[in-house]
Amino acid sequence: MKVENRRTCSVCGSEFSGGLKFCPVCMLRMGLEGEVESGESSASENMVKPTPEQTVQRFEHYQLVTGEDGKPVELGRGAMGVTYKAFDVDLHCPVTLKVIREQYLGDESARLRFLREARAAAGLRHSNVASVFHLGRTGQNYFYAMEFVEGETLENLIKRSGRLEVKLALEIATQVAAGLAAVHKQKLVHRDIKPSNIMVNLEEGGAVTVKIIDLGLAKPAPDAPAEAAISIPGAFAGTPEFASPEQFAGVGVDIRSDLYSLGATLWKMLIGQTPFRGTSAELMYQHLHAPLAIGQLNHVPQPVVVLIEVLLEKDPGRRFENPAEVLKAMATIMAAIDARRRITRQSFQKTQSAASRAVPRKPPSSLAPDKISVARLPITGSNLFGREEDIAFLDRAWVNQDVNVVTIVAWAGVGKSTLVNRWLRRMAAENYRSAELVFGWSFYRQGTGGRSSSADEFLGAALAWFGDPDPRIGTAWEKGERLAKLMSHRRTLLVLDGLEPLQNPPGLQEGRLREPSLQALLRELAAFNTGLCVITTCTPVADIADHERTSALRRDLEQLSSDAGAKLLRALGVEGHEAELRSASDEFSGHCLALTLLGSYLTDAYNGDIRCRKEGLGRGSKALCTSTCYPYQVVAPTSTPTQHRGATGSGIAQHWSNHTLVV
Amino acid sequence: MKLDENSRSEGAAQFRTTRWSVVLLSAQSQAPGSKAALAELCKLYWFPLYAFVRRRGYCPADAQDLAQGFFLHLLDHKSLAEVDPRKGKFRSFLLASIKNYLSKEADRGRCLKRGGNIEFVPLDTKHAEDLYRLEPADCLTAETIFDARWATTLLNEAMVRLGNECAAQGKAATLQALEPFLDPSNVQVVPSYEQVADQLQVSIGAVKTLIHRLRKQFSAILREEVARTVSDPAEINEEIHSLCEALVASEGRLGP
Repeated sequence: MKVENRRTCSVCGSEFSGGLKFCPVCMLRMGLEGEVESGESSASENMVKPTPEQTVQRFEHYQLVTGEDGKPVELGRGAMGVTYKAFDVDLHCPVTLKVIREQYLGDESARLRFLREARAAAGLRHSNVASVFHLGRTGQNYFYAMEFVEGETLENLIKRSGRLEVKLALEIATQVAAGLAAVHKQKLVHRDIKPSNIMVNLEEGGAVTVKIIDLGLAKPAPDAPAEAAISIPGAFAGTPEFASPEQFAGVGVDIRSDLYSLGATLWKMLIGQTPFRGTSAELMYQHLHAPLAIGQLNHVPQPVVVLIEVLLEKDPGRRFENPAEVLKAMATIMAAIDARRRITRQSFQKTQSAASRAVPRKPPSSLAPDKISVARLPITGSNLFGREEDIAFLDRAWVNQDVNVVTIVAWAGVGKSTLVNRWLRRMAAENYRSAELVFGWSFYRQGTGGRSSSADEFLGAALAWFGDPDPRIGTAWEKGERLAKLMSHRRTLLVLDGLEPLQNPPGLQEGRLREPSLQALLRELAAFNTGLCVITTCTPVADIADHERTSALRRDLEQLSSDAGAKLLRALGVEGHEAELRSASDEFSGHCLALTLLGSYLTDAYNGDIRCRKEGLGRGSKALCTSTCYPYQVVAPTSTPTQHRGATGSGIAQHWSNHTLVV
Repeated sequence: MKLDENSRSEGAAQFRTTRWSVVLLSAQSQAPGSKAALAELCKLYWFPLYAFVRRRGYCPADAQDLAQGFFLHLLDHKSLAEVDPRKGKFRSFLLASIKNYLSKEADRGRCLKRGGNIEFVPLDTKHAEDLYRLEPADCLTAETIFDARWATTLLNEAMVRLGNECAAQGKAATLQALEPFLDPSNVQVVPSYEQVADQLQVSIGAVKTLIHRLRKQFSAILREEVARTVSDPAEINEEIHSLCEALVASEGRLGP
């Protein structure tokens, strides 16, 4: 039998067997001259002892940035190292320098651990983890340089905001999970996931970039490092408010411990406070034994509550197995929130089993995408009927290496966004089928009167998200080309929803993109793309017409068949003879949105009786008339597409009724 | 030939805190008790050697024979005469010697039971194999295992000596109450000073003093144990640093 029960010493940071009652390195160090000084807690000796101010101002070509007081700007202080803001005098850019703490200078074991830590961090390249790119030496000691992350810590963001919007919190949690997936891939455990170790950059346009910092460090709470560490019986590595039960128990931890900390972090994002509060001893007890105060989450959508419950399970065996599972669950949760559906923890397992059953053309990748951002896509309903062929078309396009762009073309309300969203959920259930990056953007702002977003806004957000050093640099055309390059070399799934506001209206230039940046982007992607770009629009994109039937495919979305329309009505709770339901579907020309509105109205007002579909018109009641006429009005613009420019199906639906099940 | 346990221990006792180089020189000059002392020192570090041999791919039976044979070879008068102990650490000496020995044995074909099954250095081979099997150390080199095992063996020996000394002074209960404070990393659950003061019926100030003394005592024993394995007292700190490094390199994969 092999034993892998390991612990990490909170004083020297070295790992040791869980079967030992003490840290052997610390015990051995007691043999060094001058190590034993008093009978006070020796942990406090090591940690409270003030360290001399760092006097070195320059490390190779990195100059420490000093504050107004002339002292180096310290970004953080861990058990073994101190991080400073510095400036690369060669490349003229800011960096973060991590320097070994003065008390460990000359300590071989600390130096070795520091070196190992730097190497481990350098082996990890992920857009949601701050990268280490240089290891240097000053005298006999090491330092390393890592990416300077713009933005603010999640801790500050929460302090400023009180609590975060659910959608933003989920987006941040998703990106942290993606970063943890990379950590897990490197067989590392962060051990200190918490808001102050997560950098968030909120950009104009609502895009969010999240990065995990301080990889692999076990450090006490920043406010009171010494006290936080020494007051805990069976000292551990981590921060008490966010530490997992197994961290407190002092047994070996794996990536599931980080998932627990992610759960505690998500809780804090949504509530503004951690799940448990108190002294270190109280915190330890609560993390190990106390039930969660789920009542505090009463304003949070039920699927998110289930997610938190699973993440914060005390038994690691009842949590998600790894971050990839969390990412999969996120798709289930988003879908459930969209559909206003309740879920159980078994829903996550269903997602996994569905994924394992699917395996249609290409086995799903064992790894989730490195990064996902689909929060800007419109919210749509989950019901989809009669679109099996269209889904299969998208499936084929994804696995076909020759297809670079797919354009779904249809009038507003036919169900383009619903189709793509449904396909995305299927993709998500299968780990996005080996996609490395997934980015979705709608050129309509949901719930804001159908206002569209500009190409500049999209370019800025997308460039930043894909890691462009400075999205402001260059002409519009250059930006478009740059974005195409950034995404085309990694298998990227790009979804551009509702492109029509940025296309020219009927006339000589009909369908041509008005913005040079988008012209460049789509032309480049049509010519070369290792992933797939999926566009939904009312008008075919003329700029990529040259590639049609080769690398850029177009799919004209048909109205629903009588059969599919009848199924949709039934799914909305409408009852009646099949023939009458089919007839109703035909009356509305199989228009997806119109049928959805009709179905919702009938369900609310007439217990779903299909025969009452013209009642409102007959009685002349203003309210009813408005409601029943609306589905007809929605259908009307299908004959004059330009009148309908500037509104999406889901946008119309949101205007019509807040409680309508929208498509 | 098999040495009597009692005579060996008594003879070895006078070398208890003597540097290995002195012991070796004494053994070379056939001073009374010196060979037993050297055998005892070898026995103390038997497990790191056994683990090293096992990690080199030998089966338990062969590893036991090889380790036993190695000690017999080492303590053989002719072999002893060839050793120059003026420089170096006992740890390095043993490691280099076992490597050399294994290489020679390999040349001879297979390990030969030396001494006609005479157990010159009594070794707990069954326990050693049980311990080795518990080690998830497949990814560590034999040298790393040897050095890290050396470090834990040394620590264990220091703890055993501390326990013996306290018992001899009638302070076993004090040690039991204060042992959690001995660990600088506070891995163990540490009782409050008040609790310990109540338990020992002394003041809180006295508890702190006792803890300090205990740490001093342990530190002194530890340094003595390290001193036995180096050629010069000036090398003690360096050896401790090296052992710390070895423990860090083992990534906590070795069992207790």
